[in-house]
Amino acid sequence: MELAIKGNKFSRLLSLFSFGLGLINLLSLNIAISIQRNIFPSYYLYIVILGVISGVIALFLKTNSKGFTILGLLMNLLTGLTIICIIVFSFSINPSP
Amino acid sequence: MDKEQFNDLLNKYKQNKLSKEEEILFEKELDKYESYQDFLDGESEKDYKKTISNPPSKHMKSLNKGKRKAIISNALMTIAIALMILPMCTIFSFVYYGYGIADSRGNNFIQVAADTISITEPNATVDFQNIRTNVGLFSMEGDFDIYKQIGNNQKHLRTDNLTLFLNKVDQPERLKDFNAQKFSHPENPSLSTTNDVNQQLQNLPDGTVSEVFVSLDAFYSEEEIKNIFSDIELDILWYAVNTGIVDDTKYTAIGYPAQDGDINSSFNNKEENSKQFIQVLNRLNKYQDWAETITQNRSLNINEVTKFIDENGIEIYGVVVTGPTKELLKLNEIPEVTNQNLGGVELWNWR
Repeated sequence: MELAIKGNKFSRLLSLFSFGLGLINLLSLNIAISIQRNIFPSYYLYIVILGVISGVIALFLKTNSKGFTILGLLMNLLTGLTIICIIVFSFSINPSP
Repeated sequence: MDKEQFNDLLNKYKQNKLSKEEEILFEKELDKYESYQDFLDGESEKDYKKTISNPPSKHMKSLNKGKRKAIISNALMTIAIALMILPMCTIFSFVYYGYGIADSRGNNFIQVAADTISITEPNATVDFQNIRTNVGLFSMEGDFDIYKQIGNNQKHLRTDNLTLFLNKVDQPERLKDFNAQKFSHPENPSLSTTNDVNQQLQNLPDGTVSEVFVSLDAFYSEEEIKNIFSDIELDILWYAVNTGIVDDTKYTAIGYPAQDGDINSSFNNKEENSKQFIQVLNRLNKYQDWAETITQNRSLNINEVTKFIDENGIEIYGVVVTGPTKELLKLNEIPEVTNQNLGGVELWNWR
């Protein structure tokens, strides 16, 4: 019983951590897109990956706030996908390949 | 009076079976119950009011806590969803312009813009190494540095900023001066400006190089043109090609560069420029709207021009040449030259 409560607390913490990271990542991405400047630190992608991993782990553990966990995971995935899209397609649109 | 007796009397009262005396007695009994009922109603109302005005503090606390939680989670979800809109639109824009790699919409836009400038502006080339592109929300912008050759050097003419909003090119801001006719068609010769150009060339100092737009009396092939100008020390830069459109004063001359451009340009050293010119026309056929907006010429008629050139072949009636100013005076001695227009003049930069 005690273990189950501890596990629940841990997953809730992970879920909150993933959601928080996702919110910060998404906010900074929005700012960067709006001002059209690269404001990301070099470790930005690691933070995104950390957010995704913690979200996935929280999803597999029992958590009361499944909605928040999924939303946090989605935010981190969207941030990563946007960055990858910008990098890949920027190379694709190239007058002198 | 016990319960059964009372019920019995109540039924008889309802059915009007009681005697007068019994009825009066029973009504007195009922009055007692009415005042008892009023008392009970009053007590229960007091209890209810008490419960509402002083709820237990524990319940209230948990109620408030739940309310706060719901507000915060709703706000966070709304913020998260709102923050997702811009990245999703950005992904859409990048995929829209970048999907297809070499044949992507963005690359086609760059190629069409550069090709249109190369074939509609005499002696103008786009610097492919320095094209700056920027994908915004549902739009793509491109900055094109345009150069013209005078003497041996490339001179920066201007920078064109073109925007593609979804699939529509925005009208460029620049005012075109090159819309003015620089060549006269052999079938519709305009007033000759050769004497004026001669005067200008004679008055220019010896150590200069110039750019001259030369019109010819008939249609020639590339080889014939090279033979005509073989005795003069000059470079041929651009050929004006007969498109079959003779009497439209607003019509811009269409032609192709005489010299090979950048490896990424449509006029590179892989094939003869005349063949590449036909390929460019075929490509621009698909993007006629873009080409017309870029040149600000709604009557470019690329489709008709392509058909005409396919049927008649490439017939050249004008050239852009550059060379030492005094050397260009010899153009007067060539009988095929009907008209001249002076372009740019620069300080000496020749072989």
